[in-house]
Amino acid sequence: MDRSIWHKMQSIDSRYIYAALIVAILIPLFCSKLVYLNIPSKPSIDFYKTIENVANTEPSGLVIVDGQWSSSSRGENKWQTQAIITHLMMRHIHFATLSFDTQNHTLTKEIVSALAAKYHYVYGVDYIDWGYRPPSAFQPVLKGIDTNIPGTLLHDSDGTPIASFPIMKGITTVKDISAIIEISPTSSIDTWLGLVQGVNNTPLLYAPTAISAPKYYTYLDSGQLSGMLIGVKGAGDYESLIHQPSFGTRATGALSFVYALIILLVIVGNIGHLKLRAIAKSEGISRP
Amino acid sequence: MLHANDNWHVSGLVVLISFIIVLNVIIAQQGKVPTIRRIPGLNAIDEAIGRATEMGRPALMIPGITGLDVGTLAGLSILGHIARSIARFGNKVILLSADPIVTGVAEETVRDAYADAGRQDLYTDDDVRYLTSEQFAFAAGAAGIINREKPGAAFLFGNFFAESLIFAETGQQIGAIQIAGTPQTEQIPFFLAACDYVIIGEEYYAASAYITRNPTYLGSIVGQDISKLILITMVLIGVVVASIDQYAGAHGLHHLSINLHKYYLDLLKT
Amino acid sequence: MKKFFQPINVHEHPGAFFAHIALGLAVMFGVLAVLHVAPKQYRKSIIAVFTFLGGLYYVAEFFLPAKGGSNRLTQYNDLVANIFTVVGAYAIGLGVISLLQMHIRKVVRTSPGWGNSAALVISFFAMTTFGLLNAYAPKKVLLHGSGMHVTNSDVFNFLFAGGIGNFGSAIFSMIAFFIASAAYRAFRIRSLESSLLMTAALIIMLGSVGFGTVLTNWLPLGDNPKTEFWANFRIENIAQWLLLQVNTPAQRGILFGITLGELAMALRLWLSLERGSYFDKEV
Repeated sequence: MDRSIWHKMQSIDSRYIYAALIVAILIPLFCSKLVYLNIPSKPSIDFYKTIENVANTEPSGLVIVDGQWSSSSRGENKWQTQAIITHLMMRHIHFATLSFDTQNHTLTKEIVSALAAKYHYVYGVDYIDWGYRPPSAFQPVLKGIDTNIPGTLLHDSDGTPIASFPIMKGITTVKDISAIIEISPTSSIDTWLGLVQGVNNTPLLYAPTAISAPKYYTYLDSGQLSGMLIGVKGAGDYESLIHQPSFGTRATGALSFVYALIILLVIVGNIGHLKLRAIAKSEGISRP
Repeated sequence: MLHANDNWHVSGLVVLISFIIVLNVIIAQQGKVPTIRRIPGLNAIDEAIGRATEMGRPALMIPGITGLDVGTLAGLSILGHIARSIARFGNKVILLSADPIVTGVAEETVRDAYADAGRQDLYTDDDVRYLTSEQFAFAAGAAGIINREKPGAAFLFGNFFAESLIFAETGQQIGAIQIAGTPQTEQIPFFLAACDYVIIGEEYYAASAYITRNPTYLGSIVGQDISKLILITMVLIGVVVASIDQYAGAHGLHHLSINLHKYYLDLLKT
Repeated sequence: MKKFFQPINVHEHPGAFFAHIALGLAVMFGVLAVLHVAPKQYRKSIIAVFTFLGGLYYVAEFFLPAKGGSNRLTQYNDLVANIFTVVGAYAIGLGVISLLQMHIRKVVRTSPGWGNSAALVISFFAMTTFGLLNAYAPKKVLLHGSGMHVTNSDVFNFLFAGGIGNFGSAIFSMIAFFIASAAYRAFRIRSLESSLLMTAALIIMLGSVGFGTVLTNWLPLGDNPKTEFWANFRIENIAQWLLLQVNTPAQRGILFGITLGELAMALRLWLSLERGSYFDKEV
């Protein structure tokens, strides 16, 4: 019996797989007219609802947006950041940005500046940039946020004392914070959970890369995390929830094509594998 | 939870667990050494090294990409044992490090491993290489070295993040037999897909105990297991109490529900 | 004591700044000297004492009762963290020296692969030079004329954000290709466990994206009490169920074990109970 076709099916050269993958990613990114069904996941909906709740109940409260992503994970985290900041500005929620990554400060600042111009957000009144702190200061800063925000952070990114800004009026401890959003490809959320979230049960929202997400379902389940945007799909979900489609929406379409390709490859591989096994069995050959 | 007095029950539990672990370590060091079960991935180490030696290819080791923390130290102790086996086989080691301090410790570990096996002649300074501390630059460097040096066996033990699949898959593509272990649960699926053997979860910490048979490590494992039994018992009691609480809530027994929360369910709330 | 360790601006108080550096170096050499002259049988004890004291601060700060989120030791958090940061900073020098030694040796000897080493050495010095220039003279013009106006800051941004940033993104995106080839190779019906793995992965993938949810979009959404039972069979709800009810308990179980392992290892290190080749070595 000719096994070559079945053998080929279960051992396709990686280069063909990579070529097919490139095509699968590029088509939806370039064909922006293609429409996809995207049902936002429950963690994304919970994320959205938490921010809406802040807008409805604490309109003058402050939201912390902590970014720890850099250029390497910008394919996911940049679009999450853009969607989140857009929503905050659309609902006119005050927020403060903070970075513990050298690249992140510049990248987040670019996004915020562009959106601030669009939504007429005023620095120092509607939003503030608490600036960059080195990674070694992560734990001390978070401990400081619990008890004394102005005393811990002292200056904004330009060196101006943060206490001098109108947005910081009445903001002294974590009890004055309406929500905390962490956008990060690392497990920095563990530190926020351990040191900050429990102090006042402040709503904590997380936007990780898709790789990290399964681990944090435990915290979603226990209620310690109020919502989660999972990877670029989460960014696409959020864009659809706030009705501001952008690259996240197109990337979700690309994700659809890629998953379809992977599922097809898995099916093809298994057909070849099972057929070869059946042939071997019928010929009475024991396979390793 | 910033301080112990935020919830004394949690703090007390931590103290109890710590005491149990330290006590068992001391007992083991006094001579009462326990035995632990086989861990399949670790049994394959000698097979992997033998195969690499037969092919005339070196063995590659990566102790993760973080600094000298708990996970990296556990990884280095496993890699130290592996280096000793490699030295006994008369093969070469390439150890790639992403942290300067880890590089220093790794150099000592590998050099001593070769000395213990009486093969100091095989060790060269280039065997332990510090590439860079930048995550993806390290991944690119490691992938390049794997492609050029073509190791026959690869041992990945330490803290890994998104870059793990890059060197695991590269190693797979050149036909290396790969054994991996990490405390990062989100990387385990990638290792499972690309490596031949994977050490999952706490087996990672038990691995150093298993392969070295060191009394300290074995005693520590016993202490951890006793602690786990305590936690499992608490969870099982919690399941029963929570079920009674649900029943009480549904049947209007609010007093009972309040007491159940006060005396058990909310004990460890922070 | 806290005032003594406050940051000092080198421009405002240069004398105090350099005096502190000299004092720090003196303390460092003093400690090393003590270790060097101490009899061999006491060296490990000295290291054990320093290790214990280093960890003792955090344990004491945690267990000392606190009011309003702080106790007597909380004010020294920043100071202790800075001390550890400084100690860690010494290691950067070690790594750089080791790296340069190895690669310069390769270039000088024109060993196989010396071109890669040359590229590393050149990149290292270029990045260091422009990093320092960006910190101390960012606006200084390097190139001017023929429509060009290039400052130190421009070159640094080109190398850092334009170079390192984009290279990092490129390597990260390679993971997509590797996931595809790894999934194709790994998801095979070889045994019951691998079949379960493959089925779960397929369901999660289908439930996450549009083309998958289309398959069960004909089922009710679950907003009507009469039809909400059927909503459970929508692929995205099955995927969520798998993530919440199967994945989550497994993650919790592994988390318990790993946390206990980390606690045990941390205790062994703090109390200097750790044994093994590196720890049993003579100092």
